[in-house]
Amino acid sequence: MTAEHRVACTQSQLRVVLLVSTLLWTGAALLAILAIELAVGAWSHTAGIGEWNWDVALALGLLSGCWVLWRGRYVLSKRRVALWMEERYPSLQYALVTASDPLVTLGKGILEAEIDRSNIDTFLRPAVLTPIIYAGVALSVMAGAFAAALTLASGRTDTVVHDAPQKMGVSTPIANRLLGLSIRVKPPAYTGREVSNFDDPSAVTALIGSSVTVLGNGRPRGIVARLGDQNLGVNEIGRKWAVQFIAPATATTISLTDRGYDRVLAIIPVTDRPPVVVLTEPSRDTVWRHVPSGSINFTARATDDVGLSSGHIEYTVTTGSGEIFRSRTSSLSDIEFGNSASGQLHASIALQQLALTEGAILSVRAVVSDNNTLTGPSTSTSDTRTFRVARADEYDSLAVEAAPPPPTERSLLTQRMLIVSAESLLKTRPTLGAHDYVASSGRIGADQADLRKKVYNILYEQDEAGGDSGVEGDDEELDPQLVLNHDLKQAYDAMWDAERSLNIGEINIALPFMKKAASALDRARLANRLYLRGRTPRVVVNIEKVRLTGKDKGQQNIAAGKRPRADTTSAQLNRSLDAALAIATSEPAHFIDALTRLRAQSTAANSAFATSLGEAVDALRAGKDATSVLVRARRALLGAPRVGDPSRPWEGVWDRPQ
Amino acid sequence: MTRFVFCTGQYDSGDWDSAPLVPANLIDSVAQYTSISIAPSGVNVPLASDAILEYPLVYITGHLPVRFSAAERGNIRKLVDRGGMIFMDDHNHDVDGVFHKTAMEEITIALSRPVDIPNDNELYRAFFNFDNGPPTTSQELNGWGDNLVHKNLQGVMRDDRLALLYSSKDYSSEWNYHPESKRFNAIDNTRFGVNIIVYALTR
Repeated sequence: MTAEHRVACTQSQLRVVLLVSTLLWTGAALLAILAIELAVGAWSHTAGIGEWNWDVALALGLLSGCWVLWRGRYVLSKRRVALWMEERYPSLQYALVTASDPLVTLGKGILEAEIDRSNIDTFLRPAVLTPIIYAGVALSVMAGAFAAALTLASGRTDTVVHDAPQKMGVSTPIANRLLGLSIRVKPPAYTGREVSNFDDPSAVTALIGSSVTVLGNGRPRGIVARLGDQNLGVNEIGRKWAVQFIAPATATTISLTDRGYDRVLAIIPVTDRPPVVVLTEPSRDTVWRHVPSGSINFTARATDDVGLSSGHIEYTVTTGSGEIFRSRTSSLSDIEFGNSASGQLHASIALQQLALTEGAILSVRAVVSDNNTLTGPSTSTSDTRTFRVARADEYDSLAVEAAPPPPTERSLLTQRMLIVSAESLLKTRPTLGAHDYVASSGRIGADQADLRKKVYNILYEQDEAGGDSGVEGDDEELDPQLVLNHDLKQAYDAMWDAERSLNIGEINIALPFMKKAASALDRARLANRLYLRGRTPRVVVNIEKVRLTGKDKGQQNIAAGKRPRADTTSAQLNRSLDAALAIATSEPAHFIDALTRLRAQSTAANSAFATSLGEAVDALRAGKDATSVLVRARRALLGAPRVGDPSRPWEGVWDRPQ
Repeated sequence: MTRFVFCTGQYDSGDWDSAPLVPANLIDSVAQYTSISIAPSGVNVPLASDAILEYPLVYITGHLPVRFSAAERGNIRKLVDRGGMIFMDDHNHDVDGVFHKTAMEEITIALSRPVDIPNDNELYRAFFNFDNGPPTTSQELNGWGDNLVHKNLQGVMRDDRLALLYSSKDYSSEWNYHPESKRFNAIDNTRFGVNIIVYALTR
């Protein structure tokens, strides 16, 4: 082999080595950039590698390759290759460079012989392979770093980082894209409320008509979303998949599917409730003895869960009698609330302008409406206050004589007077001597004793008028069996205690008993008061006579048999809960979905049951025990367990379930 | 077997007890024409009380403005949702009169706006056949009140069931007499009341 051939052969080997090492360095740089991006992305909880980052990584990798090529550009020149070989084997003393030069003709044989004697190939082979070894080591290190970053990203955030491996042809399992959901709820415009965000909830509570956006990590491809029975489109928003829908009027679920993964979210709608308005003034209905004059003020307080729009006071004047009535309705005091949550209405009606006559009825109520432009507006009214003008002849048939207050009320008044006296005496104690103070207290005690005896007479109905003629056995214990009015009995006992303390000047001790006696007397007074509106005539139809079956004691002909009782909502929900519990251990994931669906289904029918189910779902998702919450849900549905009647003998069969 | 008890609904406003003999008269008719097991006297139950929910048919009438309280409205809603029926009759037989106007408002707030019931509704075939729709009342024919013969009754439907029946024909005046006096009538004018009760018990 001549020197020229030897240089050409080495040049070819170096070209191959340059290309291989360029590829290896490019790959190593690419992996290094991706590893850094993955690690940073995982640490900052951002999504996987996007388009921009991938381009940057590729560009940097190519730049690295170009740099390696530029460094190895000497392989294009045979002279520089020969010099590189001379550099590896200096003892040739430029014999190889000279022999490979085509312009040199003299002494080439001597030079070739000198080159042949040298062992140059032994030195060149490792030197040629060294760049490949370095590049290979670099690639291996970067591949390891990339794998570590990939593991870190998957384990730390559960985010989907599948794009990069897919583009690189790496077969990496794709994580569940239904984890780490975020929900954005934008209430209807009329509410004026701000957008709310929820992180990974089990249910979404939103005002009806709100715009709900479910956001998840990763691309939308392969994600299926269903709201109830309706398919929803899945879009991409800011490197995330997104599902948008309007919060429906009834509770439902949104089912999300990503390949083999699925997830259910309950959508709990919040209804914009009608406003509440309470007529606070006047507080009650009234009957006027004569046609009134002057004016009457009305005040109403209105509240709403979102915002009030407007309101007014409405009144109706009804005149007439018997079968003929005339009515006219009008309103006044229109007010705009400007979407505030509460407000007040004030109005004043000049009664003379209403031209009321005897027998006329004035009905007044407050009417408010809310700001709901989506499903409303909802209008609410307060309770109606009714004012009636009595007719002149109404009182002709009934003469009401002035009568003294009944004994219980009289006793109550006396007891209150004694309390006032005792409290006054207590205030003047610093100015009184001990003897005068005890004497004054004793006088009040004597009055208390008189009152106690009157109460005794009322208690045993010895004197209906509550006079002083009652005889009481002071030392006798009252027989509880004979006591008809327990409030009076309590008052009587408290008076005893008060009397004893008053007689020795201990007003501080006596006062609580005196007040207790007054309260008991008040209760007794109210207990005896009857409110009668009137009673409709009671006509009892003689069914047997009508059916001409008066003397027939046999079984009547019953046309219709007993119909089965209609299934109740509670029974249906209970069966659904049983069905869900049946798969609690065998299919835990579907068990949570079943509870979520049941929650949405029961929101309107039984809110306590639905709330308990929501707590159960949250507990199960957190890996906690949900037994107690499910027991609460069951009781919200069926009520607390009932204790059976132990005295009832065993009948041999269980009660038939209803 | 549970007996049917005719229930009159009491409400705080107005005169709910303006037709006290209607229950006895209808009970008499149901006993006479049907084999339905029925209590011999009706009951008056406050609309605001939960006890009202135990009755399949509630009769409401009056002359004066009707203003239901929140509890009364709530129970009306519950009663209808549970399958019960309400029969509300304008004792004023005066369209746009105080009872009609306020009752319509209250029904609309509690349930929904009443609509005309077609005269071929099964209510008119529930027991007796009324081919021409609701029977007229003497108050309509003699020109009392609004001087109109109302072609239709009105009502609120729940699915295909009549949940609330509203009448401007003043059946309360027509049927408000002692059942013993029924024998003086050539044609029993309470037969339509039997239809209402049978409809409420079977639909």
